[in-house]
Order: sequence, then C-alpha cells, then structure tokens
Amino acid sequence: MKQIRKWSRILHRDFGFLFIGTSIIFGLSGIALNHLADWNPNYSVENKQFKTDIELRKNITTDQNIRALVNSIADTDDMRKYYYPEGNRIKIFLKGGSSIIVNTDNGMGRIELLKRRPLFYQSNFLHYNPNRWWTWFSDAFSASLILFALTSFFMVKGKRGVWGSGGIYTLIGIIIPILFLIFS
Amino acid sequence: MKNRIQTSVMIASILLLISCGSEKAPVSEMATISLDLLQEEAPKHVNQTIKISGIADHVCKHGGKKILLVSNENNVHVFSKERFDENLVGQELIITGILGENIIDESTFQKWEEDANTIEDHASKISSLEYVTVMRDSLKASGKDYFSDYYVDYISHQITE
Repeated sequence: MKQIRKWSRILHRDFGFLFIGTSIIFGLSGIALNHLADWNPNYSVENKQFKTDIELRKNITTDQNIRALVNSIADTDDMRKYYYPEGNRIKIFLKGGSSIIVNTDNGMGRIELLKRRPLFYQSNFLHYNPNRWWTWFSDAFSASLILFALTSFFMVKGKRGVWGSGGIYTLIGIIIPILFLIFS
Repeated sequence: MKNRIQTSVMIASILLLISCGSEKAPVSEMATISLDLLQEEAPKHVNQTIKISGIADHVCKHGGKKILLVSNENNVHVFSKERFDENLVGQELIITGILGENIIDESTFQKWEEDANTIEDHASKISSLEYVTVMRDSLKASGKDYFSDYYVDYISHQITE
C-alpha cells in the first residue's frame, strides 16, 4: 500500500502539472460551449442596419458597386465572394466571417460584424478537436483525468482519505449525476 | 530523482503515440456537378465521388462539421468527419466528396409531424406543423413520389480565387 500511495502521489502531481494548461483550456471552453444557446462563444456579433442608394442588382458594374458599398459600410475593402440567395437579396462576405445582406429593391441592409473573442476563440477551437494530433493529445488528457480520479483514492490516508471525508465527497460526486439521470 | 525520470519517461511515451494515416480509395472518372443544376445532374451520380463548387455560406456553429455550400440558384450541405476551418466562410470552394441522397416522402412527413407534436413551445409547434403541410402539398403538386435531398460527404477541398 505504501508503494501504491507513493506512486499515486507522484503520478497525480506530475501529470497534474503537465495538464494544467489543457485543464484551463477545456474548463474555459466547456463553460463557453455549455451556453451555446445564450451567446456566440467564438465571436462577438454586432448588427447594424443601413440604407444605401448604390445599385446592387446584377448588371455590368455589380462588382464595382459592391466594392463601393463595402467601403462605405464596413470601412474595408477586404471582401470575399457574394451571391444572390433570392432574386432581390444579395449576401456579401467579408474577411473574418462578417457579412452584409441587402434588399436590392429598396436598399435596406444589415451588416453583421464578427469579432473573435480572445482566449475563448482559441480555447473553443482546441476543444472542438481540430485534427488527429490534437485527438491523441486530448485523449491523453482524458486518460489522465481518469488517472487523477483513481490516484486520488490512495493519495491521502486517515480521516481526510477515502475512508473519511474524501469518501463522502466521492459519493456525493457520483450520486449527483445518477440523480440527474433518474430525474431528467 | 529516479522516480522523476521514470515519470518523465511515462509521460513522454504517452505523448509520442502516433496516429495511423488513413488512405483514401482511388477515384476514377470523377464527375463535376454544377450546384445550380444539382437537382437535374445529381440523380445519376448518387453514391459516386464528385466535384462540386460553390461559396461556403456558413460552417455549422455547433460541431463545425457541416458547411452550407451555396450558389445563386441552389445550396447543398457538405458533411465532414473533422471540423471545418471557419475561415472558409465566404470563399469559393471546389469540394470533392461522395454524393448522397435522403428521400423525403410521406413517411418522412409523418416522422416530422411526430417530432413537431413533441415541441412544447406552441408557436414553434404550429410553425413546424405548417411546414410539414406545405411540404406535403408541394410533393402532391409535383406529381412525384418523393423529394430528393442531396448532400455531400466531404473528402477534400480547394479554394478558388
């Protein structure tokens, strides 16, 4: 038992240090993504209405006219593509995910300006498992979470250990999800 | 010190796990389909590897594994096993993928109705049921037995200028 306790402490400590950064990333993005219905965790979104006299119906100067609109409304010339989702509606994409939609009949439009949320954007990107390499690394992190749980049983002895208050906390942590499953 | 070295070796071993590369099946006689003419051209290419181009309108914000590819006349969903880069939005892409087809028929409408009836919000429920009615009437008017909802299972993409 002495050896098990010793190794539990060593593994818990060293893997704990190794995954401090990853824990913060997954913790932060976990909270952010839990509330997807309430906010956009990657971008802050600003919507502005406008009216334009620029002719945006399909014609020989469409490209030029669209650029003029983008310059005047978005204060940028960093435009991507555009298309007409309906006959009288044009959608123009800007770099960075922002977009403009205009009714070509009456010139009424809306610009949706997206701005990346620092830290959240990067954390969410990683949480969403961007590629195979990250899959392996995050699998190692997940396995370490199991390791943390198992080693915590043996790290402390006495009344603060698994046969004392530690055991009560463990039971509470197991009962809460079970109750949730029963009553949800 | 010995323990520390042993622990370090264990950590390094886990981090050095290397994934196997996946091989894609060879593709022969790949058809290029116009997104504008998807409904006309798709039936003869279902379950085949195709190329299709369009503008990425948005990447699904929940999983990031679905793109809506659009043109002036049409749109199609592209599904991937891995997350798409959000930076693709607004760019014109040539997608290589396998064309799939979902059949929308009376049994689909019944399923939609069942799902709609479970919606608690009254306005959403009515709206969903109305949509089913519109679709059912539309199918009847078309004289067909079913509608085809085409999609693409993503293999790769190119960005066009």
